[in-house]
Amino acid sequence: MNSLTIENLTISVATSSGQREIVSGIDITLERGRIHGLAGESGSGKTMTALAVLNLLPERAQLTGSIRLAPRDTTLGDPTEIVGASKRVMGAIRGRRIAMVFQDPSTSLHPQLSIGQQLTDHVRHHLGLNKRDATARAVELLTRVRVPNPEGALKRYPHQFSGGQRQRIAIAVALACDPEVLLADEPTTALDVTVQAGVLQLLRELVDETNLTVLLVTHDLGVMSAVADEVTIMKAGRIVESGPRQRIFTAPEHEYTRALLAALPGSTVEEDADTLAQQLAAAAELPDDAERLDDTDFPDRSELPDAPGDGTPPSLSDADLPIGSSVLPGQADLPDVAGFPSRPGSHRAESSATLDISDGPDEERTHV
Amino acid sequence: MRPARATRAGRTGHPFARYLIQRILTSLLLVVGVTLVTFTLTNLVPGDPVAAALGQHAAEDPAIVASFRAHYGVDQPLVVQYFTYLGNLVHGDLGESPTTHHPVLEDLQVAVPATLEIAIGAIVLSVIIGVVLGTLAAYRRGKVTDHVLRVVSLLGLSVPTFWLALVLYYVFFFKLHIAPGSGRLSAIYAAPPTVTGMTTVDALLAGQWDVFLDASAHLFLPVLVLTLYTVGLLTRFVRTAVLEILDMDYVRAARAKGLPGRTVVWSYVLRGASIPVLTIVGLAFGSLLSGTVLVESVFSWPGLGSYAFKAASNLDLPGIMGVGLVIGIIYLGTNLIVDLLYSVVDPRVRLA
Amino acid sequence: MMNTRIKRPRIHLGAWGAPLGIIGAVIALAWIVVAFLAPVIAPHDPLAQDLPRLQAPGGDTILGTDSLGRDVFSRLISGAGVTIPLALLLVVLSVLIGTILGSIAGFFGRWVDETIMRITDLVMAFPTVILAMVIAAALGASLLNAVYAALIVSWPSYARLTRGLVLGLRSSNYVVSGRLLGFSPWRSLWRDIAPNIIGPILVLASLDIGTAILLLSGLSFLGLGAKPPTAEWGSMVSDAIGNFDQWWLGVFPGLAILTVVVAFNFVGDALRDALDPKSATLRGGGPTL
Repeated sequence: MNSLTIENLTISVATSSGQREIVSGIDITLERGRIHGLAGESGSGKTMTALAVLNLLPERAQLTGSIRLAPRDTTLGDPTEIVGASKRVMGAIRGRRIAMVFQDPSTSLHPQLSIGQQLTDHVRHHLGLNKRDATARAVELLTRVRVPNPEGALKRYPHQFSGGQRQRIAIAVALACDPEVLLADEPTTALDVTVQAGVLQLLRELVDETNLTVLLVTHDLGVMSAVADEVTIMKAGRIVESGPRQRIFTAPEHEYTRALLAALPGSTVEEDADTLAQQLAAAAELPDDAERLDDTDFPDRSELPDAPGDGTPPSLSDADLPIGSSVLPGQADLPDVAGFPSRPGSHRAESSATLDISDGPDEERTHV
Repeated sequence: MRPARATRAGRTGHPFARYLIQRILTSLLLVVGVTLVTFTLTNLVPGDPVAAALGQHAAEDPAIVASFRAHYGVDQPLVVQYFTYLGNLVHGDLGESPTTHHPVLEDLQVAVPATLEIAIGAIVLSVIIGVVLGTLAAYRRGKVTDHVLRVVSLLGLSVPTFWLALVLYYVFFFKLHIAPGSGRLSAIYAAPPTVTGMTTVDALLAGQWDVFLDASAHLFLPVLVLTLYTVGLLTRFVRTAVLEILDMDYVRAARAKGLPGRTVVWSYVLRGASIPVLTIVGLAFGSLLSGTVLVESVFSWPGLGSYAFKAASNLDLPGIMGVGLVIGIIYLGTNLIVDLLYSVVDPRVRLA
Repeated sequence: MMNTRIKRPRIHLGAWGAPLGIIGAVIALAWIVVAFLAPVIAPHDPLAQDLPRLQAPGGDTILGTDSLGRDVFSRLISGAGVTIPLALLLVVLSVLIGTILGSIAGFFGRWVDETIMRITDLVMAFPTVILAMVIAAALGASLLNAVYAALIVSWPSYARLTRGLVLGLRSSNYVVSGRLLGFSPWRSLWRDIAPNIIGPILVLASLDIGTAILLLSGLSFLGLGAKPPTAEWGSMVSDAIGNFDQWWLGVFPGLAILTVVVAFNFVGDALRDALDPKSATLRGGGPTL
């Protein structure tokens, strides 16, 4: 059953040298309860497509074609057209029926607002809940995305969480009003590899449990091969190839797809997909997967206030992090979790840690 | 107007206590610096304070000059004079003004609240108007509203305050008889009992409504003149700050959540722009104090600006020193308030 | 991404399409021409007290006469020749002193930096007009002394700006790569750092010309600048205080100040837009998605 249908969508932008097409006549059909991967190199128009679904493109961008959102229950009437929809119509769709998770949770969560406020303001607006009910729902959501100590987390601010936890919170924010469609724009790109698996695993579970429809935008074919049911490959604003994951990854028809797959770090596509699948399996087995630390990999263990001496790995959840301690949130992502094979490309761990540091208060204050 | 650098320095002690100690230390240093600069300036220049204070005739009589010098302590070497001043300062003695023949402290107790009354009125008004207009301009970027607001705010920045003050005085008092004349109160009213030194506040505290209304009416034009300039400054700045925030992921995320535009602006955009805006408001308050000198002279407002002008033109050393000191303190106070507000609006500053 | 990081920031005057900037430039240029030609185009001697007193505008005189029988229009024109060159001189000197001290602070760092920055802190703690007033009073009332006083209060903003820019550029990719290639520090100072500082300094300076005119005329208004017979706009406004019924005495010099200052501010604002696409209008900004 179709949930969201994109037909002949064209996005163009007025530039000084005339109208430039960013997306040219693409068709994508999202089926309910499936993860639809949209892959392509940066600049291929995939993020623009996701933003178009929420009618959030910059004002200069012109949209033609059709994006239709089917009602939750087909007996309820016709699909809603999003292209050209009024502010009122979009206001009832955004966050309520279609939600979005952004690439980098350290910029998509407001650094100056508490998690509680960011989790409840749209819930109260869309669902008309009072403060207490909204808070109860927020706790429930945080529990569902496995953020430790949900009640305490509500009073905290994004910078007090690790990168992986922040993205879980961002997912909780997106799911807060029980939407039908989730747009996930590179939801794991800014995260450390070990944390990526956990977030993808969470996404998969949510889809399986709640019949959610997901449009997963990514440039990472490894991520795509691990969780997507359907895959669409984009290049320069056009669709190159589209089909079930298995078919695209084993028997790509298009030369560009073959080139992309060949560029994957694993020696063969299947191998790479297998590796990630293994990681997923491993992640599923761990209770608080990537946020766990292997004590042998963590040199400053003795500095942690409640590091147990009996060799059990200490869990570095945010609750354990004393304010102003030397442990930066990003470092929690660094060590590889036991049993996780180190994937090629795990150097991202470093860049993610730097990102977290630059998030810190000192950086903020220098340009004040 | 930068936040304290102390945040990274020490690890011991409560962060706020550490911050406060750091602040007080730098404050003392700045106050000493300010007095030193004022002192040097007023002594290293060709003007003769004795002649300025006594007039040409008396200045030619050696006996009068000697007694004047002894009375104000200017017969001592400069270094001694400066340390005597600092020593007296510790006891709250700012010396006696040769211009007003009052202790400088008493003079300042009248002048400072008078200036703060217009300055605070103007900054509050400017922040409200400037934030609204600046945000509006950013949201209407490139459209007619933006262009109109740009011209208006640049005009506000370009009007000579002393001239505008005169024009408004001429129109509203001289021609239309709407505004009251110069000064802080009309002659028929007695000043309310002094508590804060701000006539409006004191009148309210004493429950004298008629006095409050009259004092507010007298405040209106000076505040309006000062507001115009500051509004221009803030509108331009808020526009830039908001434009930067509008590009942020979290604003897009807030829109993606389907929040109404009003909520996005107030909770997300303005909260995000609050730190740079607070910084510029602090700076604007400084430039506003500058403007008071000219405005006070037009409206015969007995404030710090008028006092500084009188003291400066008479080369009244204790008076100038007193003004310098007060300005140093106001500057530090503004900094402190801005820093505290940083920590109110930004949890990252609070917990640093 | 990579591309923008390595590319040097440049002034894109091509993007300077803001009509306000052009209007401002035209008005400012017109005033500068007037300032230079003042002695030639003034219909009367601005100091001669040879006309009927307090004549309303129109008739023989374009803008009327003042209480001493001087021609307001001629005084207005020669006032341009007094204030504008001094304001330009003031800004040029502030830029010179400020950028030199700022570059030294940014380039050498350590105690040199600390010392210079603490001095700027100190000067900037004072409201400009009050500090300038004290200095002007101490030096004695004269226009040149007013310029000195204004100079003391206005250089620190350039020092700060320059220092910040130098610090930023010193660690930027192309300066660092230049150092790795073995170029001398002077080469990087002149070839890499200087061209990138000029833009922001130019913006600040163009916005500062207006401030300088306001400050100088304000000091004259207070009697701490131009001495009595001089036709200076601020003192002309001050002269008008006793003659409220003769509105033309105060209104025209004020408007003269307003138009000059606003013209320079228009130019500065447009320059800022051209240099900083983020705050620019749609037309100036180019495509940013």
